Amino acid sequence: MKNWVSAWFLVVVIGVGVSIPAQAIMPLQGLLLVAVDATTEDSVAPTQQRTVATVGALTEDTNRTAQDDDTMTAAQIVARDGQMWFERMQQVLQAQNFSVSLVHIQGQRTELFRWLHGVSDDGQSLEILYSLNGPEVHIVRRNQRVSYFHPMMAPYSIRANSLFGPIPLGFYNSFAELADSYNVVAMGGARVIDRPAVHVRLVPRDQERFGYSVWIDRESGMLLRVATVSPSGEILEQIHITSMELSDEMNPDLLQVKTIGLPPLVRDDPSLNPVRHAWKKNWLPVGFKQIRANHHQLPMTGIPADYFLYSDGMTRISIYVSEDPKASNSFAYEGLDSLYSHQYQNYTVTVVGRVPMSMLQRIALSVRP
Amino acid sequence: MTEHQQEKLSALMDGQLDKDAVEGLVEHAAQRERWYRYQLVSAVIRGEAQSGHAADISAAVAAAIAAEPQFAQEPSSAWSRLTAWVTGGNWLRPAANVAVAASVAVVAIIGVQNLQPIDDGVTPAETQNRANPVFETMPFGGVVNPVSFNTMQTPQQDSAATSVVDADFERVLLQSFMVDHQQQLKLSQQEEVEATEIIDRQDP
Repeated sequence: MKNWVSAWFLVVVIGVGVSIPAQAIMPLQGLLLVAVDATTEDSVAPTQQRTVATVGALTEDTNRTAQDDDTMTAAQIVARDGQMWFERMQQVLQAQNFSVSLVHIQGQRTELFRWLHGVSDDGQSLEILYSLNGPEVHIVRRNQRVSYFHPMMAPYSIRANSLFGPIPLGFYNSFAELADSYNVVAMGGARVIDRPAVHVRLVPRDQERFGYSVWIDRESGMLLRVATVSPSGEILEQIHITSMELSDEMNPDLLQVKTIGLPPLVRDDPSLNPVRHAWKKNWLPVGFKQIRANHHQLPMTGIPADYFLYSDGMTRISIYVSEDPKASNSFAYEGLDSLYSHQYQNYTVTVVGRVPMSMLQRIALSVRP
Repeated sequence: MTEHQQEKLSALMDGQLDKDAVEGLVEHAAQRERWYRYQLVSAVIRGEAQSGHAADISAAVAAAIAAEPQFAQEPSSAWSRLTAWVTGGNWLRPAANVAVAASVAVVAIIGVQNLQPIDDGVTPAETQNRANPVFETMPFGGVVNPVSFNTMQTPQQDSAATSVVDADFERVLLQSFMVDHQQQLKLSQQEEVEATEIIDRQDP
């Protein structure tokens, strides 16, 4: 397995390197033509209106830019196609009626989910994701209200545009938010669940954070597979769609989400408390922007901390600075989500996020009063 | 076939059912088919089936699976269970505080190993000499998923009594940060939605 992964990564590196040999352009142009065909077909079919509108726009766009191919470099072409396919997938995830089964793999842990999404006749966006093995975890979304159900706990709701589940949140952000940190490139064709797919890679520009490989159905634009890949090419997490049904009509199971009573919203009081001190972050990876800051107490330990949340469009990093002696502990924890905690004389910096440990460490060591 | 009938059928196969009940069961055509399948399967398990039977089984089983309604209706049944549970009452508890506890058990700690301390010139010497334990875990996704918290002693041996206490507290500390991180991610989604609404109101 590991050898296979390394080999795969090597091929990818050779393929996408900064300069691409001229011969590489030919298959990519072939890919582009197929792409134009596929989108034209879709826009003729009587699919949902919102999808049609966007796909139609995309088709015009690709027709226009296809003529500029001669003047574009290979790198520009793969970047343009990468963005086109990524945005098409985003559109499908938000506007298409679909019912899929998926497998979520993290290390040795495998979870199965059923995932339904649709837009009702009266324009309500509805979504359900639930586990098929183990405890019945359900996540239900009705427009901007997302509810979490678990047999072991009281259900609650959060206002959000997307589920907080296995699908990366970055897939629901605008492309511009991740474009500073990732090169999004179309790699070429692949076969996934017996369907022709396009392999799109999100390559971190700094080569230091995790990258993503995304396989998108060539015919429908639907997401088929995602892999989170470490800088050394190791696959850390995978989501694999195992069966998929796209339809004009919404799955009837979703209709019940329209009428069901959803649990109460979680109050977000702590965000009203401003941070006590503007800690200087002397080093942050390129593309990370602060999206949240407050002063709050941690669950379980009650440790008060100044809190800062940074996003690069795909992943998020939490920075905690606490002067509480209870927090004074230098330790580290490595997983898909990692933690690095560093104690100074009178304060402790703790950084948590889905990035390599070296990056967390460098951030933590750069924080000063 | 009801669950009750299936139980009876199972009892019949084990020879625990009286004659009247047997007749009642076998009257039903669907019952007979199922009885036949169960007997075949049972025969195969006992190694009694003829090769001709074995060939029949695959077709019969495939047909049975295709005809089995619960396979096709899996989503609805799961959903109806949820609906039943939702309407069942444990629903409108005050969620704001419970939600905090909700995602508590999301970290499973599997192994422990040592990490070389980093010399950044700031850390006091005694802290540097202490090995920092690194916990390895099956990481968790965004989905809240309670996992039993496997306690495990760190291999560090500088001072037996205190290191155990430290390790225990470290696990709590780790859990505390990890859970808070997940919660803040969810709350940041909420904050973004509310920020967008404010912009929408100002700029219709």
